[in-house]
Parts: sequence; C-alpha cells; structure tokens
Amino acid sequence: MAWTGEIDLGTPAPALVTDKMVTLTIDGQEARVPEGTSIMRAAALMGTSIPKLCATDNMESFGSCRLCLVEIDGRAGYPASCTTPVAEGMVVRTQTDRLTQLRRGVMELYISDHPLDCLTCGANGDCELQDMAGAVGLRDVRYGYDGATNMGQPKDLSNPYFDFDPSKCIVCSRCVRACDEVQGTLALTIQGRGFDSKVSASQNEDFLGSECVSCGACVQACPTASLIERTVVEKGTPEHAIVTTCAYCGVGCTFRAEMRGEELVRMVPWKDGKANHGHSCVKGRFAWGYANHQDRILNPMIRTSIDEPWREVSWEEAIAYTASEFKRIQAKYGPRSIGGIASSRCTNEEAFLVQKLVRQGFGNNNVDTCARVCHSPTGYGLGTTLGTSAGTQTFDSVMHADVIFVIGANPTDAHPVFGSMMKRRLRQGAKLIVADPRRIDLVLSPHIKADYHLPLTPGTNVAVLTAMAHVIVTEGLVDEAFVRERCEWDAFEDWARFVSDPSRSPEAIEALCKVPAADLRAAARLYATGGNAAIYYGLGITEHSQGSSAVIAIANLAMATGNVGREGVGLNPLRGQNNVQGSCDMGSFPHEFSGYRHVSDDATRQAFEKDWGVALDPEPGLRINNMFDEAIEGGFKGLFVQAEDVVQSDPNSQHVAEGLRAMECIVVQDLFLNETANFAHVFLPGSTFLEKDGTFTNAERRVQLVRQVMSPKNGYADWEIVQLIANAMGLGWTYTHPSQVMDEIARLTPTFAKISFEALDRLGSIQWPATEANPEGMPIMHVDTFARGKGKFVVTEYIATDEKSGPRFPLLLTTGRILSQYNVGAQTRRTGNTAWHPEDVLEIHPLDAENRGIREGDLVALKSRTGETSLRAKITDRVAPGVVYTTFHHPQVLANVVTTDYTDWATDCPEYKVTAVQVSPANGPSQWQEDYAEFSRRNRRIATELEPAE
Amino acid sequence: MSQPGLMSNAERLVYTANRIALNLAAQEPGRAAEATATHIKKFWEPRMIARMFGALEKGDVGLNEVAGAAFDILREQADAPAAVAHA
Repeated sequence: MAWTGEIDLGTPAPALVTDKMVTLTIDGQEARVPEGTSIMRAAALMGTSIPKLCATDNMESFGSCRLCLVEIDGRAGYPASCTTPVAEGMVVRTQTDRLTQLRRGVMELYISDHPLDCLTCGANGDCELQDMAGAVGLRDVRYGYDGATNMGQPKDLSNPYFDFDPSKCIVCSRCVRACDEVQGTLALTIQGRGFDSKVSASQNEDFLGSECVSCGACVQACPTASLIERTVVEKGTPEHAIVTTCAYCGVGCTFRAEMRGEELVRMVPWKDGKANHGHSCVKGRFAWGYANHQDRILNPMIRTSIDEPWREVSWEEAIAYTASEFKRIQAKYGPRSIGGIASSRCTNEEAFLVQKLVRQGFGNNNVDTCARVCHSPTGYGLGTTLGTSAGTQTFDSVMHADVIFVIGANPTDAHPVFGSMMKRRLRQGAKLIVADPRRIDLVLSPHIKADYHLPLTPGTNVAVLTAMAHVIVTEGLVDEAFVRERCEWDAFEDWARFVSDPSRSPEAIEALCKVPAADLRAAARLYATGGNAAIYYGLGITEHSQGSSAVIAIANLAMATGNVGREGVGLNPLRGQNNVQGSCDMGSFPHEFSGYRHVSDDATRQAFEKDWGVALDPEPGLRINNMFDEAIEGGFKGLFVQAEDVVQSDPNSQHVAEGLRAMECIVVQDLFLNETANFAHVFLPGSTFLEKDGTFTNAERRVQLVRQVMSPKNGYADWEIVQLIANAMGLGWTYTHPSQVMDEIARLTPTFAKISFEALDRLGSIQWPATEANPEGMPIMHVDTFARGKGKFVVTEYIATDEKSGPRFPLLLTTGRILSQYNVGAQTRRTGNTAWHPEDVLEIHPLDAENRGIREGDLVALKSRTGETSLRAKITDRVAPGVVYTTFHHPQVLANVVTTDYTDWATDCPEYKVTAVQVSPANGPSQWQEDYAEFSRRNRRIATELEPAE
Repeated sequence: MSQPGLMSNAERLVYTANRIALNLAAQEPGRAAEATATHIKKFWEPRMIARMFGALEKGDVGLNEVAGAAFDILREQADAPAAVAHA
C-alpha cells in the first residue's frame, strides 16, 4: 500500500546517530543531511521523490528494483540511490533522459508480466506500481503479453484478513524483509530464482498454515495488490484517516483508522506512533470486527431476577432503575454495601469517573480494577523499593540493552510489537536470559536463542531471584558506587547479609526450583557484568502468593547492579491491558486516590473533598475478592461492573459466582452478554474504543489519545453512561467532553499536572510524570534520584506457596495468553482470530501424557482441589515434565474453575500460576461445564414482544 | 486448615493475616507486628478488621504469633481515644 497521507522517505535514518552533517547537491539544490543518510532519503527530505518500488523507510535498503538509479558526477554507471550513502560535495541528478529511459525499461519488464486490471483492482488508487508507471511516463510495453507468464496463479485466501495473489507480485521482497526485519518471524522467503521466483510462506504452505503470525507487516509493505486487506477489496480504498490508540494490549500501538464515512476500512499502524513505530500485531490491525458483531448488545436491559429473561428498556428506565436500586440497597444495608469495578480497557477518563462515582456518589472506597488480578504486586513492590508504581523505561530503551532478562513474561505472544523490537535487538547481539517454566518462543526461534533458559518450577521465583542476588553479592559483582550514592546503605547491608547466606545459593535451591546451579550462576554473572542489563517481567512474576516479594527481589537486583536510571536498563513490567496502567493511575484502587495516594492521607483527601464538594471516606474499601466474601457475609449487595468479566477472569469461578448470587443488584456495562452478565440485573450496552474520545496509558506510562472515529452504536460513550448514573444519583456532573475530565485529573493529580488533550495533540503522547519540572513528561525515571529519594533494598525470604502437588494432584498448572486471543476473548472470539485458537487446550509433556494414556487432541479432565473442567490435550515438550499449561480465552473451558483463591500476601493478586492438578482422559465435558452451559443459555435469554395474532 | 477453594471467609481472613505476618516478619524482623498491623490497617476494609476482632473475642482462631500481636496493636489503636495517624 502507499503511505496514504504520510511521506515514505525510502530508507531508514542512519543507524549510527551522529552530529556530523554532509552537504551535497541534488538536482542543483543544496541538501544538508546527517552522515550515513542515503541519497534517496536525502532527496525525499528536500521534497524530491526518486521513483522506487523495493525501498520503504521502515526497512533497510535492498537495491533490487533498479528504479531509483541516479547519476553522480565522477562516478561511473547509474548507482541505486537507496543503497548509496551521501558524500561531502557529491553532485547528484535524479532526472535525466538516460535515467528516464532506464526506468521505463524497468517498468516495461514489470508490467509485461502483470495483470492490467487496474480499474477493477482492489488497490486502484493505492498502488505504488501504478504510481511508478505514471512517474516514469510509461506509455507502452514493447515486450507484449505473449509467452511465459506468472499470471493466473491461484490466490491464497487462507488468511481471514488478507489475500495473497501471486499474479500481482513483482518480487520486490518487501514482504519478506518486513517479516524478517520488522516482525522478526522470518516466515516468508523468495522461492526459486529468476522468472520462477515467488513469495513462499514457510515451506511453500498457505499463509494460515505457515509460521505467519498475521501481523500484516507484509500487507502494509506490499506496493501492489498482491497482498491486500480483504476489507479494502470489499469496501474500497479509504478516504480519510484518524489517528487513535489500540484497545488490546499494554503496548499501546497507535493506528490510522482509515475510513469511508463512518465505516472503518482498515487499521494501519501509525508511523509516528512512539510505542509501535508503524508496526502492529494481528489483533490491533485486523481484529476490530467485534464492534459490528451480531452478539453486540445495543439496548439497555433489566430484570428483577437473574432467573428471568432480559427485558429491553429505554436508557432512562435502565439508569433510573440502577440509581433506585443502589439507593435502596444502601438504605437497607449501609453505605458500604455497594461498590464498583473500573475497567482496565476503558479510558483514563472513564476509570476516573467510575472511582469518582463510588467515592463521591456511593460515599465509600469500594472500587477496584482488574490490575488486582495482574500487576497489583508491581504497584506494591516498585512503590516500596523505588517510590513509584510503574515501569522505569520506554520500549525503545531495549535497543540500548546489552543483556535482556525476561522472567515470567512471554512478549512475543502477549506484547507482540514490543516482542518484535526485542528480537531486533537480540539479532543485533544483545544477550538473553529467559526464566520461565515453558520453553517460550524467545528461548529458541529463527535467529533468536536464549543464552540461558532457566525453566524454574512454578512457585519458586523468589528463591531463584534471591539466589541470583547471592551470586552477585558473594562474588563481588555489586555496583557499590551506585548503591552508596543512590540507595539506603543500611538497608543494603541487611539485604546483602541475608542473600549471602549459603542456604540461598543456587546450589542450595537447585533441587527446589529445578534450575541447574551452574546456569543460575552464569545468568546472574551475565546480568551483573554484561553491560546495560534490563529486566522485563510479567504475570509469571506477579500472579503468585509471593508476587510482591518477587517484584521487590527484581528491584533489588537492578539496584544492586546499578541498572536503573538510564537507557538500556531498568525494571519493565509488561502491563497486559491497554489501560491497566491508566486505571491504576486514576485511583481505581480501594486504598488510593489517583496518583497512588492513600485515602487516609489528609491533604490529598481534602483536596478531593474541596473539588468534589463532599466528605470522603478515609478508610480503605473492598478489593474485588473481598467484595465476593462480603457479599456472602451479607454486607455487600450492589455492584457496578464496567467492562470487566470477573466470572471468567477471576480465580475460583465458583466462589465468584457464589458471591455474585448473594448480591441484589449487579449492573454490567459491556459490549456483549459476558459470563458476569449471567448474574446481572441491569445491562448497559457499552461503546468500543472506536466510538469515543479519551486517553489510554500504556506500559511505558505513555498517555495517548483515543479518538472517536464513528458514532457510538449504543447511543453513548462509556463515560457518558457513568455520568448518567451519577446524575441519577444526584451528583450533578456536567462534563461535555472527556478533555474536561482530564483537566480535573490534572488539577488533582500532581503526576498528571501538565497533561491535557491539547498537549497530547501537540506532542503525540506524554509519559507521566508531567510536572512543572518536566512538562513534556519523563521517558526514563529515577535518573538522578529515585522517586522516594534513596532506593530501598528489602529482604525477600522465600516462603513456599501452600498450593502443593501431591499424590492426588501431582502436576502443576500454570496459565497464560496466546497471540491471537486476548484475555477472556470477549473481543477476539468475535473476529477472524478464531482461525488460530478456536478453543483453549492443555499443553502436557509427552511423558506425563504417556503415563496417563493421553494422545494428541484427546479430551482430558483437568481437576484441582477447587474444581474440574475438560479440554483437549496438546502434547508438547515446551512444558517440563510435571507442568501443564493452558490459556483462559474461552468460557466453555473456564479454566479459572480450577484455580485456587491463594493470593499474593500483600495485594491479593491471585496465584493463577500455581495450581496442583491431575489430568486424566475424559469422555465428555465435566458436569459443571454442562450445567453452566445450560445456565448461561438460560440467563442470556432476551424477551421479545410477540406480534399480535392476525 | 480447610483446603484451598473451600476456605470459609473467616478462615481466609486468618490465612491472609498469617501470610502477611510471615512475609513482613522476614522483611522487618525487629518490628514485624507493627509492620503487619500497619499493612492491615492500610489495606483491609474496616469490616474485615472488625470481623477478626469479633472472632478473636470468641477464642483462638489460629493466628500466628506475629499476626496475633498485630491485631493486639490494632485493637489498642481502635480503642484509643484519639485516632492514630495511618502509616
């Protein structure tokens, strides 16, 4: 595709950043560019387009199409401008009679073997081959169209989102290079030579069956209609675009939403996106069709009992019923008997309004968010050690890392665009340590091999991290100058004494964690001495009974080795959802206002009281899991749930269900009837990210605009719905645009003081803190001092989880995500992504499978002390013997029916990653699954009016 | 102790308090009870603390030594005439 509305400079900026400038002359005009710039890029920067087909500025130059030839004084021949760097005093001509002749000859060759169906082609008007034919003045093709041809080859229509027509391919290799350089999957190649050259996916397979991950980089790179989005073929080329931010994962890719009127045609990654730099994954680029899915609910519904079918009502009736029920419940059971769950997928403004509704309207602090079940230990751990509850770097920082330590994270699946960037750095030579019970793709994939894979037993993170600290301290690898200057020395000494004990050595814990001591020692030495060392971690660290301790242990390692406060290092929590960072920032926690300030802090609370005009509760409220407990106790009876599916995503699903059943009014605001809606009394149809304005904050603390591209099909943006409820409860809100909410956030939250929609529009994005001292944000944190002043070392004693395997439950289950699906799958299951992962499966080691008589694809019962479910087996050695793994994307399996309610000691983050299970052959779904399927079917009924009889 | 997934609310409160105490005792051995009390006060909703007080009045609920001492501190703070500032 052509870069619609964006300028393609042909080749990337020089790899080596330099101040040295070169002056040359291009077509009689003087140009001054950094040393290392290509002639093509230099010309483009001064507004001169040199014809090109194989060059594009997000990939290295290739020099194959021979269109971009130029004449250079003093040089023989006609060099390619894409592969020729500028030189001081160079004189270049880009347009001469001879060059025109050569270019026309090249184009004649291309067109002699290319369909001439421009007027009916999907890329008509958006085709670089068409553009170049015009640019070189092509008027005829002297070769004719007889003889051997590559036209008429069968199309590959296997991918649900794009078509591949080999007949239109000009073998420029842009797609191959995009897959190599941008995505890093290396799924494509050019098979054959000369006339027989053709693009091939994996071993000459179709795209769907190949290693292609459907990121779309090849489609974006393709200059013809050979690779083209199916939506463009069906709908036509877009006519305008609006830049917005993805609503899937915590990378926060920005896209041009390319539209025809109010219809979305395609999502094209925005070149200037600071998080994604023009790249994307299959979800953000293609999986937006859920917005128009037939399952989407567009009208409010209520029912007095969950045993009744839903009844469609007007917005007025639904909102009035919600308010009256919440007031009734509070009058009967007390002010703390209702609460809310803010969404980590909705905007910052929406999260702020939900916690405001609870605090100002309900008069309590019973508000929580899904960070409870994922990265709440990050908030606790980093807050304790460094003074701030967020990652310390930008994503770009990885390009300066010499050692990358990935623990409890799987970025190529869960943060794919960042995973691609990490792989690019690894291909440049950075070293890699991976600590994961599974052999994730990063351990071994094309051109990527971990220097150390530490396949630790689930539940032993703290022991392993403390053992690494033992090596660093006892072998004299501590950066003492850094620690003395930047950290509390006394605390360091206590910690150093603790980790030095022989009982914490790699040898002492080898039998426990199953990591060879020699590997652990070597990994620790590499981290401490390999140069810039960065840690990337995810839910494999946090979702444990010692999740907070593990985060603290990671911070200890970084401080001890001086790997904080500059590019290429740091602590990088890979936040899962598009706005889970933002939801936390906005005070969606029962104990904190926005900006991570405790509700008991008088100065903070008084500032909010003054702004909001009410007295606020100084006591912490209920966490999500406590809400269910309190409901069963009879003291919590009403709940507002915005875009969160606690039944599917929270652990011990039966306990969650029991808690919900005990409530009297559950209000669910969502796009679809999800599992939680089965227990709800009010359903308020929500809006998608395409249908509202606001901001998301990604894992880099980067606040980015979400821009409305179409009217909300349900009638209201999500923030408007919260305002309706608030006003029905008498709060008198008068917001007319989310920018006003952000202004209020900035007024009340010091770290957001300089953030506004105007500033975001002007700057593109801002990484908080954005204060008077740093009005445009702070990409790297803790540069001179830590947020708390001195960094604090904290002792992390390994305390084993009480979830133990034994004779009845001899295996350990750990759970995670897969690339093509997203969290509970509410969105992605309603898109073409089901082509890749139509059901959750259980990964089991061949030895464990053989011992149980289980074969590939067999239905198996997965049973724990908590519950049982059935799913299909996938036999693989990616998991170690004794460990099994599944995902949680499909409600038919509802994997959380087997997870326990053991939680992190500090934050109650569930221990999803350690469940003792047994696996055995099954001959059908579990009784629970059958019962739940019927329950779910019954509870999703929507009453319809009968037509009167004739 | 009941099995996981089958803990009653009361058992879960005790279990959680004990785990907090175990972890904080390792972090701050000299002031484990105070640290545990501070943590609970900071993060537990008042009814959860009140429920524990109620259970303790009826007898031993299975709190470990540090957790038990923490609730003694919280009881003193609750009974004190003036509110004590939160940590």
